[in-house]
Amino acid sequence: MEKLKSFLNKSLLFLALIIGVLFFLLPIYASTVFALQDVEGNYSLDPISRAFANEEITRSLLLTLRISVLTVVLTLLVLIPTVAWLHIVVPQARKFVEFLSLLPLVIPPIVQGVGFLYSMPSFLKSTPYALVFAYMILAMPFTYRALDAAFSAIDTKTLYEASLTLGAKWRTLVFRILIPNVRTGIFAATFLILALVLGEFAYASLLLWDTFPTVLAVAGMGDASAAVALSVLSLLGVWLALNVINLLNKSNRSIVNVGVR
Amino acid sequence: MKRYVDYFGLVPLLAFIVAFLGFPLLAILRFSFQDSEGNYTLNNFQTITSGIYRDAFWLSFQLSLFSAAISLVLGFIFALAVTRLQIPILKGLISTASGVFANTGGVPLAFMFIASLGTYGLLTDWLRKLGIDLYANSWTLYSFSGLLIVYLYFQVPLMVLVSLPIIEGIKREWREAALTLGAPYGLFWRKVIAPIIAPQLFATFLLLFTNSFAAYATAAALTSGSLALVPVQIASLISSNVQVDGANTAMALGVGMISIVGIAMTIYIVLERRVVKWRN
Repeated sequence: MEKLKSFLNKSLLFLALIIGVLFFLLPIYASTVFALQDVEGNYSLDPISRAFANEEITRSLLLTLRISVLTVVLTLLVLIPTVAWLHIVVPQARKFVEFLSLLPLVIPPIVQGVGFLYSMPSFLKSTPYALVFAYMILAMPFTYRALDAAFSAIDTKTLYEASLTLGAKWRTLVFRILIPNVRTGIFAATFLILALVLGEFAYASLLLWDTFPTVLAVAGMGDASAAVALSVLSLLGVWLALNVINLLNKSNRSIVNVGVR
Repeated sequence: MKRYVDYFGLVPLLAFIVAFLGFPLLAILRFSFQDSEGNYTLNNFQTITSGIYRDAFWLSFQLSLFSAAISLVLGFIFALAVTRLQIPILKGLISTASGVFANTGGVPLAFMFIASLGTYGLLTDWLRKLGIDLYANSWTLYSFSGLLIVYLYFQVPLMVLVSLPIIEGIKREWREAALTLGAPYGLFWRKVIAPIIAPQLFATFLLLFTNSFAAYATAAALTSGSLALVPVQIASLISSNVQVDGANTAMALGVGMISIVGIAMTIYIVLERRVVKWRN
């Protein structure tokens, strides 16, 4: 009786697993077939080459990539010293800064976008690269959390005092002690920013910039196959980024983090 | 004595937050209490609590409520299956995939569903061949329930990501202790597990709710504005500029959204803190 019960239990869980996996894989499969099949039912990679031959799309992809790299670099430049400072010099201020870092979660991206549009000086509204600042804010709840967790996992203050006592120079302290020890946090922050920038639509569409998501939305009206192909590719891109970062990370700690969209 | 110099290291981050979060927020607050001429008024809040804007809040609220409730149940069962079945590498694979799905969404997701369940979608076609016509009873993917299905695609993975640690927090010893003492399995779940995970699940529910309440891109790309959720209304007020005090109304809608999300997130953070304290 007990055995039968546990077997039934297992089977039900297995069924749940199968249904769940199917729910996530079917749209990917259907989209791939939809994108690559022509009217006669033959498969070709034509829609993909068509998408990449479209100058507007390649230009928007390049812009989005540049924005994401800049966002990663600037976020790390601002946050790593600040979080290190918080752990070494003023740990009593950590609660307050954490609270500030969570504020962007309370303001939906579309509302932040409207605020940006109505408060920023015109020189910041005349270049798409100002989106970098907006995206730093959007990603901050997660990037701050990732880095703060990484600095909490090591005893930052002891490492700092030990290395200075042993006569380490600042450069050694920063590049050979602190940064290697918090690399999991750095990788996690990098992934979260890449995923966010690759999909961000609210700011870009309000400010009328041709980033990849906004161009993709318009392209969908014209060439459905190409747009669907690009959609699947962008999902694959995020997946690839996560795997590459996990590989680089080499530590056992997974960097998968809770993201909020 | 406090050394104020100690706080200098925080200046860059604080200045950045004030400039790019503080100023936009102030602008929204100020404009929401003004008409387009700059006179102070409460009219915008009267506008957004009546007519189409009240309907928009109600629609957004329902969508978020349903998507949070459904993904809470489905995601938990899925995460339970993943942890209990103990198939090698499955857990790593699922949590990586969930990380990807929870972080994508928006335009690509909308197109993938149009290709699958749209009028000419592949799955629609298959089902039609099996004798099930999804579009027979005036249902479309671009309706409320269609959008709900699409939202599950990023809500369920988020739930899975949050549930995995919750389920792993259920200790083996608890079950063994309860079962050795003669408690039936059902009683163990009701009296031991439920009280422990209920606050965590409620916190997660709020997280899922705000996640869907704040979402804009998916709805915009899928329905091109035909489903009047609050974010969609804000975007159309800002970009069309035909209505009197349109931008100010949009700002008031924004203040409304911030209040609702703010309340939910505050409860979420308080609950989360208590859970963390309890767990350690």
